[in-house]
Amino acid sequence: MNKIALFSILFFALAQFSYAEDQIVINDAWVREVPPGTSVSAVYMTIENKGEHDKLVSLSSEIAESAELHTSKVDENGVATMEMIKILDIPSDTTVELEPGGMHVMLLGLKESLVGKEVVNLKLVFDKAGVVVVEVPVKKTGHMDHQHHH
Amino acid sequence: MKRRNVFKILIGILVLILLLWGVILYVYLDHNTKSDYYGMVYEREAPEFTLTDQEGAKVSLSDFKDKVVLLFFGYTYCPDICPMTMSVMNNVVDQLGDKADQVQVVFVTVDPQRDTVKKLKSYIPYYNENFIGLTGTPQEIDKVADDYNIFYSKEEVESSSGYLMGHNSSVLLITPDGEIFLRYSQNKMDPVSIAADIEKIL
Repeated sequence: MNKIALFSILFFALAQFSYAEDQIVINDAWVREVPPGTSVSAVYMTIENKGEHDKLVSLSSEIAESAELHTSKVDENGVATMEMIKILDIPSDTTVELEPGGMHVMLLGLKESLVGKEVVNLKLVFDKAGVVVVEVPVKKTGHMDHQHHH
Repeated sequence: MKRRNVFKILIGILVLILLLWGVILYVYLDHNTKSDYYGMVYEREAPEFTLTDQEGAKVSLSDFKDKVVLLFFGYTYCPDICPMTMSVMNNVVDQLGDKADQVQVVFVTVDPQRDTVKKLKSYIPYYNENFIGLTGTPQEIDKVADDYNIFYSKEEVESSSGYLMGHNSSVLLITPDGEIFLRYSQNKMDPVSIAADIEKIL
């Protein structure tokens, strides 16, 4: 009986100190609102690693069938392509920026429209820091002055 | 002695002429290379094309003879660059205020396989009701892209997306008299500066 109590206390104490939010800090996350019926979008954010050298190994979101880390590249001829990053290395005390025109989380197979949604969730799995779940606000880009309702 | 003097004078005149020529050349070249525009000066006749818009209607470049056309190529399955460009185009139009109706934004898909008329209908008006999205048969798209020197290709990325498109992401500015006058690459996407270029042309 005592052992179980001790284990429980130890477990909760360790859980308090360990991992995730303490080492990895996600800031300025947003997802681009896209037209209804569009099956892809992109999430941007900054990932700060305050802990030891870590790796972002997988991504997922309830709103999409899959989430992948991609980077947009534009060559000297203006040709834009995308490359998939399977594992992202994040050395300790560094911040990685995911921003339009560069690295982004591509959401594939959106299950519902982002229009009218406030936030979507995104789960990031780090090699050492473990699972980090972020609430990502949906942001509309560009103006819609010419939008009329029919 | 006399001959020597004449020789000296001749050399002097020659040096002067060369100097003057240099100055003229310098001024001329300087004037020509310094562009007054934010976009890269391109100056090429814009080839005519006819494709199908989001309403299913045939649309030709010549339909916009009295307008500045902002033409760019993309695809709706594009999560990053294409929506970014769409937003920039919207901001350009906003910047122009009253003159916005003298500008036509035209998006041409490089992915006709997925971007049908119906798909464009749900995509284009979301950004702006006045924008035009064009699609066609793969052959038609091929020809237009080729005429405009727009490279594109299917990219088999190791991802669950099936395929993505690599494509030239520049925006071309076509003047009312049918010339591709300026080109904006992705590092030249400031809406205020693009709008300023358009105001100079209008």
